[in-house]
Amino acid sequence: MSDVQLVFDAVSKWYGQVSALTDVTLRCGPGVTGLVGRNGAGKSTLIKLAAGLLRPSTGTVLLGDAPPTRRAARALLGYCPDVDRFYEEMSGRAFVAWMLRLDGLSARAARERAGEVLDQLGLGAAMHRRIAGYSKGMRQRVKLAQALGKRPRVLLLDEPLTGLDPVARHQVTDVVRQVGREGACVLVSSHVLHELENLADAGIALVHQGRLLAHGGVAELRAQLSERPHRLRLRTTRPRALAARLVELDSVARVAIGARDVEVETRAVAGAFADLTRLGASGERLIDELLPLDDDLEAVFGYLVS
Amino acid sequence: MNPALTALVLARQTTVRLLRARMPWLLLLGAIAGAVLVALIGRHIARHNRGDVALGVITWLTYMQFVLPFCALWFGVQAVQGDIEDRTSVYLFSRPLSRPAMLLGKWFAAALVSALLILLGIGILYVALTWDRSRTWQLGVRPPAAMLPAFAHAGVLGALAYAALGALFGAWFKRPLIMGLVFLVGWEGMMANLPAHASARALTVVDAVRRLLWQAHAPRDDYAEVLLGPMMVHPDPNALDPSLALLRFAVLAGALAAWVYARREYDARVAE
Repeated sequence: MSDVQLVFDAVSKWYGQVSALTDVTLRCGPGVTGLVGRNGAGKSTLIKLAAGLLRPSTGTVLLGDAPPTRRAARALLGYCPDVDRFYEEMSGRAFVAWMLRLDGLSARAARERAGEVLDQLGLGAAMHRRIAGYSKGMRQRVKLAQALGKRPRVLLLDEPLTGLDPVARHQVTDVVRQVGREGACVLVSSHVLHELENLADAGIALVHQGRLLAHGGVAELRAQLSERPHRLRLRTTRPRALAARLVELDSVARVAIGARDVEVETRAVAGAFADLTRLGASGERLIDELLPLDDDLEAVFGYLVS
Repeated sequence: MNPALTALVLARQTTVRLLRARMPWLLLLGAIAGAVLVALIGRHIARHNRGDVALGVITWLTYMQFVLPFCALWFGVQAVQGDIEDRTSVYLFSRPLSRPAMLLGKWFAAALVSALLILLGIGILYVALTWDRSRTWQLGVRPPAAMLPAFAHAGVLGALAYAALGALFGAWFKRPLIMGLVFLVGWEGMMANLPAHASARALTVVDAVRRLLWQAHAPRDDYAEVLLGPMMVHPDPNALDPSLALLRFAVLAGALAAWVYARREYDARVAE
């Protein structure tokens, strides 16, 4: 399978007088790319542009070689919308099969594939029941199944984990990760950061107030923020003694003492790590464990939007 | 999926959806209730009317003037706007389907359901008027079955035209039913009652429908006044053939609807 890229080139989108996206340039290749932002940040608009449901006001969106408003481009696409709407009277299997039929599968192949993908998402036992009687999590999985069923080269998932219980969340995450590993370009949006942290192997795009703030791996994004203070937690049995040594270091800007740890703030990460490593290796055995506190997505996002 | 198959598949799905709504069944119930009433007062109707005039006038006053336009327009609007409004359209619009073909399928489904209801209604009305063979009609003229094909012809073409208009309004406007009412009550009510030679009549569906009904009869002035309106004792002989006029109207409205449907973004900023 050759790689297909999803490209946003200087894309802006206006709804009348309201700007939803401003000058977004983003390139997503194979693997799972996370799209993070608060509610109203522009994530859904970005995904709808990629799905061909909206046209950019300025700029270009390309799915492979063509804009997604073209049928040939949409043939590559699987889209899981954020809306919880269905043909309620249909069974889960009938709905997915009908969608796959519209994707061009024969009636028989569509039925078989629908059963297969619903089974994979843990909905095998309930697939013949009417969607109207499904729980929120089951409905979410039906939406995913109709997007995954055609084995898309580009998969767009708008808040796909909403409403799922932990087991279903695990199943869905596994399936999405697998699709990304098989070479598809997957764009997943969420406003829950930790959901994406382990899922998005191809990087994270941070969107805030319609602008793309950053794009890259979590660690990579954190490294871009070198002017921002980094926090580290040092586990120790002697917090006061450790704090006394830390305040002597030039690389340390601030120290906070806890019961069994010390929290350190630094603006010179590389220097701080070198100093702490030396301190830890000294005969005093003051440091039991060092934990960076700001390498998680939440912290990066917090810094970027503040 | 190629456009022809897309239209067929969407037509089938839309037909099923429309038949699942309450509207067609309410209309059918209304038709049956009306037929029961006609059957009950049939002897009175027969005593004062010729059978052909009674069938023609009742068909016109109920089905062709009211049920056909309102129901075909409603089905056209529902077929196109129903899934936009409930947002299931995102599943269709994100798939490799031709939007004009989708609209074509929805339009045909709306026209089909409307035409079926009209034909069924007229059939029930005919049975209600003729079931009692002992009735004595004025001048001995019973309601002729030979008029039914002409009514069916008018019903089918009218359904096609009104459903196209409903599809156009559904694709174009945020409040298509209000626009539909404005068209039916305001525009058609005004234009279709202009004098016979007024060319603006060509911009209505109702004018062609009633000219088709007129063709089903031998010209009679008493009937003409009811059917064609006081301003138009006889239709303009130079006007375009009513079947062609209805087809032209349907094709133009359908093509415009397809064009709008293909270009429009049907996503307000709801999710965010």
